[in-house]
Amino acid sequence: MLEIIEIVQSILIIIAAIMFLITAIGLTRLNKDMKNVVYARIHTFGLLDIAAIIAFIGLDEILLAIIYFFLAPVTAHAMANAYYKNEDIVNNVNLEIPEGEDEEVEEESTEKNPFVHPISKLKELKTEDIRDKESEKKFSENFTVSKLEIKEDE
Amino acid sequence: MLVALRVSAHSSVTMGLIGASVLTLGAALALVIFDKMQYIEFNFDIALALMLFGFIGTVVFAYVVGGDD
Repeated sequence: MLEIIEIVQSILIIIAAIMFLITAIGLTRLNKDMKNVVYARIHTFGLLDIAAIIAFIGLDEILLAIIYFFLAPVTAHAMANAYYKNEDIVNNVNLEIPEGEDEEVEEESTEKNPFVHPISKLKELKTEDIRDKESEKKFSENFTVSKLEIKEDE
Repeated sequence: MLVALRVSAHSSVTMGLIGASVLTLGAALALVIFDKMQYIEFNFDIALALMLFGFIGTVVFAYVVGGDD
């Protein structure tokens, strides 16, 4: 009977270890620029919590497993709530975008530093260049240029 | 635990909270495993305290950061 219990405990610990590995790989492969990535991370850590509970059961620490079974969701919810209320600009309409993020401060060229070029003006120049090239292309498509060579002898 | 460290290195406050929470859990689990390996009984008490106070710290910090509601 004791052997069976030990085998079950070992299997539980192996399952927990595999779940830990899956969580670690998933967290490292999660795209940083994804929308709502913090909630996705909290969700992924839910798997880690269950893995820890299974590991505690496998290690014969039932009290810790029961305590963590009730504490883990409360912790995850508190963290998600804090993120939503404080930092989630995408979903929370009541949050204001902090000053300076939506407006770009640009320097303008003065007499002291004449080599400063604002980014917006450079972008405008680039767009003008692109437009000029496009208009040249259109012109070359519509008309053909032919050269007439005249020799001096004639 | 390494992944938790990497997550907690983000600039966001919430990411730091998540990383610290998982680090606490990893430390508690490591203490329990060490307890089973070396038969040191007080490791269990330390793991229990870590989990309880880690939970309290995380919830209180989230409450302070999130606001009064």
